Amino acid sequence: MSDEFVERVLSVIAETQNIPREKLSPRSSFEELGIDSLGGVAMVADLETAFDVSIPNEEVLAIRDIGQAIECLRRHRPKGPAGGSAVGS
Amino acid sequence: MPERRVVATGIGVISALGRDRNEFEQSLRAGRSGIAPITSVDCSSLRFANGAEVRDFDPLAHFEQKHADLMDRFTYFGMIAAREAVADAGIEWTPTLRERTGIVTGSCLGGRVAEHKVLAELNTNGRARAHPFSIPRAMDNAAASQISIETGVTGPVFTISTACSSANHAIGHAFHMVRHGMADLAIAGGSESPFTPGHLKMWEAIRAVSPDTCRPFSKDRRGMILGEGGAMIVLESLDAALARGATIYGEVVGFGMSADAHHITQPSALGAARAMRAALADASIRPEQVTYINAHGTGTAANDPMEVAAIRDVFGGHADRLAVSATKSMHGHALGASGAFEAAATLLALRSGILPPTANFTEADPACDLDVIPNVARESEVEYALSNSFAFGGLNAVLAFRRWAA
Repeated sequence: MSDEFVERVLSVIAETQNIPREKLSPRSSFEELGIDSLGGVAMVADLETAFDVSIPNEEVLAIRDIGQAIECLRRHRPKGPAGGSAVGS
Repeated sequence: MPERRVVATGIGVISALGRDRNEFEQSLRAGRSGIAPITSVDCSSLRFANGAEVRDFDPLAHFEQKHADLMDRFTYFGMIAAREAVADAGIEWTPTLRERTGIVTGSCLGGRVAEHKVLAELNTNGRARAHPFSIPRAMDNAAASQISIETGVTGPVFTISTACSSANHAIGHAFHMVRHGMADLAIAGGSESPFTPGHLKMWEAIRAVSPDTCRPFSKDRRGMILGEGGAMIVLESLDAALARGATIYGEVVGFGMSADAHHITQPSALGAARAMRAALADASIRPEQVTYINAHGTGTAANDPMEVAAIRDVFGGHADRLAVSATKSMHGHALGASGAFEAAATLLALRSGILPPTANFTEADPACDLDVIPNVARESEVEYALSNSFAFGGLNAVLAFRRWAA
């Protein structure tokens, strides 16, 4: 997992979920961030928009921490040199 | 006034399972699902494409053009179900009876199809004005009001919107009105028409809809399937029904409500259990007297194990002797109409002695370890049954029914 990609994901989460960037790491659980199941669905929806990917329900509902969200996005982002560019960045 | 016993003497249903009550009942007995590819909305940009639609529906087969123009699809369904229920009950209206009759309808969404057309005209087609009929079409109480206007009913008429519990709340309040003498007769149920592009997008976003079908209590369940239609039930006092020689489907004996006060989408077994206990208490029956439950059974990851836990909490060891089925596997989740479909299914099962199955069942889930009548209807004479509805927002409504033995 490239540090650059992780950094972009964390920046999008910080911006869209109004969480201070310094509180976020791949090890942060939704629970410690105060994100419930519905909040998790909303967070992933914002990531889908930012990274132009579509993630199936089962995978979204299984995500419990930021690292799993990053892994999920990596699996689904388009392949190729431009893959994974966040919209607007 | 002493409490009156209340019975159901008329049922009307229009759904994905057919145009009327008989087709509905035959489909339930056959375990035949009405779930199929959605035809009324282009689903190419959605994560799901299946629904339980009312097929080949032509409002002009039921209403004059001028009348049809005033109504949304959910109102058509409510009206058609009410007409069938009233005719089925053999009601002969008199001025006094009209004053002494109530109508309580449930709808989660109201006239979303009409609203979608307005928004499309304004936003996409650049129209400057909405049609003057837009509000009468879209308002949540349109079905109740149109049924009232057509029947001439002038007693208490209102609409309840508690998401997926709407129809159970409606039937329950109508039951209590008749029981306590606020009305002598009631037409109660629900209708819904959730198939609009925007509304399907909203359901896609909340990740509750299955990409294939609805498999309640199955290990491989993937979510709910939206449905549409309407179901209405005629309720009256037992004495009145007997006096006029009406055919009785069954008795409504209890109604229980509760709120989870927990989460806007995650259900709580504590709240569900309290509503079931309240229905049993209202019916003055013990848990052991119940042998069938028409479950809320949506087929979502969250609902089904929660509902099983709640049933186990209320029924203890007796839970293993209960038959529990989720008919949403056949008529879909018609939101504010679902409880009415399920009340109709429960009353028909009590009368016929044939319990509807949970269709599309593939694999048992240890977290849902009850007898869910997988795939095949079952002959069973049931004395008491419950029908559960648990809504988003944690609003729960449970009805209790008793078989009528003449």
